[in-house]
Amino acid sequence: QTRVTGTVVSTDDGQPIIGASVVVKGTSSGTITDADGKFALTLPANAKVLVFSYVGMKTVELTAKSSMQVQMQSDSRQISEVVVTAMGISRSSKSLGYAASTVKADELNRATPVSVTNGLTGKVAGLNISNSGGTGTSEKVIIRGFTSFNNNQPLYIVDGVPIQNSFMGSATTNQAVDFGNQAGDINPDDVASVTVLKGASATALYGSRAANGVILITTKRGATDSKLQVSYTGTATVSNVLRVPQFENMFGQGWPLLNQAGTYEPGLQENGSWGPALDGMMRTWGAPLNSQGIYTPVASGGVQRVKPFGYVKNNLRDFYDNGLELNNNISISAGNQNTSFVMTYNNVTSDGILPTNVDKYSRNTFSVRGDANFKKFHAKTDISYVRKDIRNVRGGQGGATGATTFQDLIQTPVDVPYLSMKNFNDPYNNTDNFYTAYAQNPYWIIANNQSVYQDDRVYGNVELSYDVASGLKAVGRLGGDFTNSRQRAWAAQMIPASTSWVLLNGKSSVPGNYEEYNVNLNQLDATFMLNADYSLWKNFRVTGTAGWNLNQRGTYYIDAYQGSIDVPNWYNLSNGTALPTTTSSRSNRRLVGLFAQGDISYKDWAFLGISARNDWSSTLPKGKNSFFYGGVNGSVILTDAIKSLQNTPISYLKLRAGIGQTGNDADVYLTNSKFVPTQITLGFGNLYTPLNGVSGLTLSNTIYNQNLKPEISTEVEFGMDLRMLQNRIGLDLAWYNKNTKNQIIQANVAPESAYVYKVRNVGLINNQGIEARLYGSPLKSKDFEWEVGVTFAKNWSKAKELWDNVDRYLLTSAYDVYYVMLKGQAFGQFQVPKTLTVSDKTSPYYGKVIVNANGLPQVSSTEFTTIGSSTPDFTMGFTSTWKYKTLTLSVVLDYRQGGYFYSNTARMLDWNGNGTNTMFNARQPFLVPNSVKQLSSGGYAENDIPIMTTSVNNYWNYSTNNKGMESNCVLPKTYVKLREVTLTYAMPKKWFAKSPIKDAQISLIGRNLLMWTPAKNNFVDPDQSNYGNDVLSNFGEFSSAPTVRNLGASLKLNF
Amino acid sequence: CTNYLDINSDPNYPASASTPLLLSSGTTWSASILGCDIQLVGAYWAQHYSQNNTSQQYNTIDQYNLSNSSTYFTRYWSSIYTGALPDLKLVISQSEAAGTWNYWMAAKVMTAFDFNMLVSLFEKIPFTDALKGSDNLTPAYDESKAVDAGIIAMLDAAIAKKTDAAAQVSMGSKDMVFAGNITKWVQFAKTLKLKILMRDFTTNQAAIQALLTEGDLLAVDAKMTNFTDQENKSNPLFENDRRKLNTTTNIRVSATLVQFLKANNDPRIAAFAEPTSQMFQVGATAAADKIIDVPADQKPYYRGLDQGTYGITTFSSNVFPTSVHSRAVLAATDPVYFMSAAESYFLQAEAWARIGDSGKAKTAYETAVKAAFSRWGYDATAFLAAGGAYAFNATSTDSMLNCILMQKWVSSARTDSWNAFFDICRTGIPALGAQTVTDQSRIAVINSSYVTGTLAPSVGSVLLAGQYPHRFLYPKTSSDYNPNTPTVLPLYQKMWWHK
Repeated sequence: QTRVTGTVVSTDDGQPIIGASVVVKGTSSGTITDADGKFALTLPANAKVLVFSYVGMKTVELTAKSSMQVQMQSDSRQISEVVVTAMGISRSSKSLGYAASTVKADELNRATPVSVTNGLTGKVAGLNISNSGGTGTSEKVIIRGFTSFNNNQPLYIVDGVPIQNSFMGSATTNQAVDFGNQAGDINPDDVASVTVLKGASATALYGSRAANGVILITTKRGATDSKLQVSYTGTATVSNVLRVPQFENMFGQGWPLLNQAGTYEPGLQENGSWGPALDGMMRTWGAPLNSQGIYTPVASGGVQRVKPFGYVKNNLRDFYDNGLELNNNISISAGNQNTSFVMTYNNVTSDGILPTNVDKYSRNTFSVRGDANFKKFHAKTDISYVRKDIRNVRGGQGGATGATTFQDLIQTPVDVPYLSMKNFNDPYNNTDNFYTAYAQNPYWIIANNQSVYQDDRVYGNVELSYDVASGLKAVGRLGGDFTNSRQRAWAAQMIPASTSWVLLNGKSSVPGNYEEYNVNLNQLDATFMLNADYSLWKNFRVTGTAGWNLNQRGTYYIDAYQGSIDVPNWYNLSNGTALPTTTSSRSNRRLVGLFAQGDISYKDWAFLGISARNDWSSTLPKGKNSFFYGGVNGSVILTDAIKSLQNTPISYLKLRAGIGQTGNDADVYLTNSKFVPTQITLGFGNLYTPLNGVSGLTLSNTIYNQNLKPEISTEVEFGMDLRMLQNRIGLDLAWYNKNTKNQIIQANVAPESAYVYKVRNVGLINNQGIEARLYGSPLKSKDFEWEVGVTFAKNWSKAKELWDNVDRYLLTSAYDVYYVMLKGQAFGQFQVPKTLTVSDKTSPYYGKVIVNANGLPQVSSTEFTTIGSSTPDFTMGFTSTWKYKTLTLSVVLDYRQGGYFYSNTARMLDWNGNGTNTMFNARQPFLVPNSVKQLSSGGYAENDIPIMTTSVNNYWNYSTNNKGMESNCVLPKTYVKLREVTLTYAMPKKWFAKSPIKDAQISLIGRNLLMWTPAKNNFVDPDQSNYGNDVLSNFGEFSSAPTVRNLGASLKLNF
Repeated sequence: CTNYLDINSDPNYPASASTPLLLSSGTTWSASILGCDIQLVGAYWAQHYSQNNTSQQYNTIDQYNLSNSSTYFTRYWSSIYTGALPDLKLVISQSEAAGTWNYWMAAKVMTAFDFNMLVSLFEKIPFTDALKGSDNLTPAYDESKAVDAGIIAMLDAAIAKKTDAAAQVSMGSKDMVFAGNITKWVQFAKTLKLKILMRDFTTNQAAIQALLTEGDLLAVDAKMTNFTDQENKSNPLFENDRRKLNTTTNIRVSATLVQFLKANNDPRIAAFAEPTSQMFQVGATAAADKIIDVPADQKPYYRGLDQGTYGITTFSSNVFPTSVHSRAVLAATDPVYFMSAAESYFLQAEAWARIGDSGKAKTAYETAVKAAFSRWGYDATAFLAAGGAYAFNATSTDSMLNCILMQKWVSSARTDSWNAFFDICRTGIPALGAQTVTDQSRIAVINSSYVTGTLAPSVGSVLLAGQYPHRFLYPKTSSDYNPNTPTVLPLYQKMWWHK
């Protein structure tokens, strides 16, 4: 055995190269260089040559010596990047016949994001990422557009093993709360690189669950024979609210009313701005109280508060606080001759933008990764423990189960300062005398109605491998992912006093409630495979993999809800006037697969790959649970095949093509019929058996299916990788066409069949698209370097088939805005009731809007107007980096054009007169434009029924009077966001010459700094949502939490 | 490997259910949305209730502004077709196999009741092809006359099993309607039959006469009383409105009902309406009208609210605040009625009146009114005595029908308001007037042109003047997935038996 040590440096600047790969030629054993560019390695018998490679450098092959000084030259022609592909197999990127975009650690973590997906935003073409709120909230990651009615999440693979990515919290219209999705648990600082596999030919080997693409995460490993190294990164950022809705500034509190004298008068209890024009005069407002703080009519001596009747500037923005996010990471690594390890500890704490500390996020991550090599035997392990503690308030719609924060927050008249409500114990602000009965004091809500979340999660894997023979390796890998989470939520009891101001105005009581919700999730994933790598004849090389995989996933839920608190402010399930209601459920599923992959290359410029997999799933009907799929791809590097091309400006040209399929099984328990307890949903509230001791069981309203087939996605893909002018400019292009059919959904059926749903295979969704990435370095000199990258993605989606004769499938709705799939149309269309117009073409009024007796537009009781799709026209990302000596400035912009989303915030503001739309015609009387009235005789006449100032609010009250105008709540999704700005300064090493610090850098960091949206959307960030992170979140938001911007600094130290 | 993957039976729920559990489930489903949405819509349209003019929760009902996707239509349709009827169908098949004819009878009669409700609300409905699951996902709609014949056959079959059913071990509390009493189920079946036949009196006169002669009609309430004052366990309308909405002032008592009760000094007003804390003091001029606290000597004071006034400037809140018009009384333990004893007697009275036997009509009428009064703890004797406000007027068929149906209309309040709506459509009583109860130009005073006991127009109606709802629209949940769903007919379109 021979021991080899050495240092790898760059010829460009003489600096050591960190993380360069050192591999014994013809094997997969090797190491990587440490922070000093040093490496050490024990050569297997017969090994002679070492291969040194690094991104952007020419690969060097050298005969091994005991002490080596290796110089690497930057490669302007060829990038022999190594990427990790399916099943953890490393491949040279040039050999791939499919799209695999890799983002390295330094680019990912430049702005020290709290989650990996946040760090990917704007950096990969065709990868759409949006985050729904502040630190730790869920992130929606969609690759190449929506393909499925239910699940569009990519599969996350960490070091070859899938991890779970459940949404935690409650993604609904009512009492929504977002505790993030589980992919957000991964500490970005542990990540060496992320590879995004987009197409089916790349993901076929992963089979089920990979139909929506794969995000492969490779963690940082320790280097063998390296000294103890310690590195620290600390980031502190201040956050504030990114966008608050714009309020009108001319009219104040009230609802259009006339008093006895026929003049305007503010409604003292109103939660909106339909009152008189603001005049800045000191005026009374709110409840009249006596000296004991008890409601007393003014005539009987009650005294009201006085304030200027004027627009309060920055009112809502001032309600929010500055948040603080701290992100500290320490990592220790070391290695000896045969083993190496990395240990990291990461702590993220954040106090969000709501006043006080009701929105807190804390995450502690410990991970240990070790590698050991004993002759032909190799062992790897990677274990992470994550603990999260989150406290948050609920969004969406509230009600008798407790008021929610954001819905009530925006119901404040523009003349009422939020800050005046801050002391919610003040007699004028308390629950008895708050100025309105229709909304609750937001400061009281956040203090009293809360949700907390805590989880413990362990995930990781152990991999053992053995070099069976030269070129043949056996690998066994076992992965596990176990989450144990606890949620508690409460809403305070709120019972207005019998003589209170709010009760007089119709406030209903909240009995108070308390809920405990425990979720256990577990996953085991075992793989055994054989990897082969042989050179045949002279010019061919064959690599292959064959293996077996088992995936088992289980869930366990228990929920207990106490709906009527007895003793106020004591939150325990036993504190109630009735027994708590409890529900529990569990599930288990298994999938067994056999897979194989073969690749053949010719002269290192022509490549062909074939993959195939067969799965057997427990969730498909017995006897019909086996399914097979696979993919073929090929690529040619023309510049290597035809060497003369290298004399042209083209320095590198690769063409690739692939076709692949992925199959997907069903959700659990969709094959057998069942009976469920009779629990009936009313409009509001429920009717649950047992009733007075009599219980009931009802036939499930779903037809279960013994003939389910797996879902199949088929994708064809062509691509090109072009680099010119000595690699100064590069262009990646991809075109894909993907058909997803036989989706398993609970499809609606007509209720008269006795069922509401039938589990069945439906649909044919087509997604076609192009992705492009243009990059280059326009300027490059010794001290100055400028790099730019632009990504562009456009996806055309079409629901070619639904099922049977069905041409409309309702995904979800809010008020009268419907989010539907329409046959022949792009994925996810918005519809509102159709405003009636004169349909008789011979009428002189043809096409005009028909108004009712109140002068408001009439709507059809059966027809809809389709506004458009939630699918954007295109998305773009811009990255630019300027380096001057040791100073680096980097900027990431994210641009989305087109598409629509629903905003209930917009609906609320138009309804309560706070929105700027409501300034139409300065609220002076007007006729609905281009309208006619209907005559009792059946004909039409020019409309002469004005919308008066005193009833203008009816015009803007879409859900009741003017449903066609619900279209005003369907807003353009377009935005430009300045996602990241970082300025990094690497401090000169001489500063620390006498300290243990080897190098240090300091950065100024900004995330989500600015956002531009079209004028029509002066309400919310189009990304914010309370509907989770899949299809329904594409619908939009229902009075959800705002997103935030972060600004701060980070320090990175290596010891 | 086969067994290893055979783990897809849901461990959380049973794969079969016993007949008693299915019967209580079918009954609960039948009562749930009936007691909530249907009672609510019925009460707005029959003018027992009106929507608060400063909040909008049920405004679309009160102003007839409903589309075919309205949940008021779709929810009931689903609750019956996918909740009640499938469970009852299983009760019938399981009890037929086991010979437990009491369950069989109860399920048959409840099935007949549910189908009759659907016909009454929608006219054409899927009947013959319905409830067949995957075997027929797109059932044809049957003509309502054919459905009526089918329901009557169902009821006849149930009645014929009287002896077999009575011989079984009692259903006890699993029978949420009659606690296992087979005699009452038979009476309910017969009375339901009478109700259906009354749609077309002329054609069915002989059958009606036979039913009346045979007697044995319902003398007690067919209702579900299992509600308690607990979340998710109370009367569905109470749960929906009072317990779960953020404001509890939406449901006001209609001025139409209040005006009628006040005009007749009817004590039941206290069972329907809450007293107000304030009232109008009518001045010499409009400017002199003002709102005052109700003086002690005028308590309890009630005032109803006109129909469909939400968003109508003259009725807006400052001039007509919440505190001056009565909220409807709802209680957590209010039963859900399938058929009241009073309805049974009113039906008999109407049948006798149409036959021309004014004596039997009078007896049945008086029994009915007494039942309607005693339900709320009042005595109707004085009202029925000669010269009393509700004395029977046997002058003519019309005068008899007018007495019977006006009292039936009052009796339905807070009980089965939907029946009042059906009767308005079927008989035209109470009649639809053109005047609002309140003077729209002087809202402190009653409109002098208003005729007490007539239905007032909904002020903000989206229908044309004189149009009144007569049907539920064929629901969008059906038409989206069943090509056999008929074209949606407008809300005001009459059904074949409507007057």
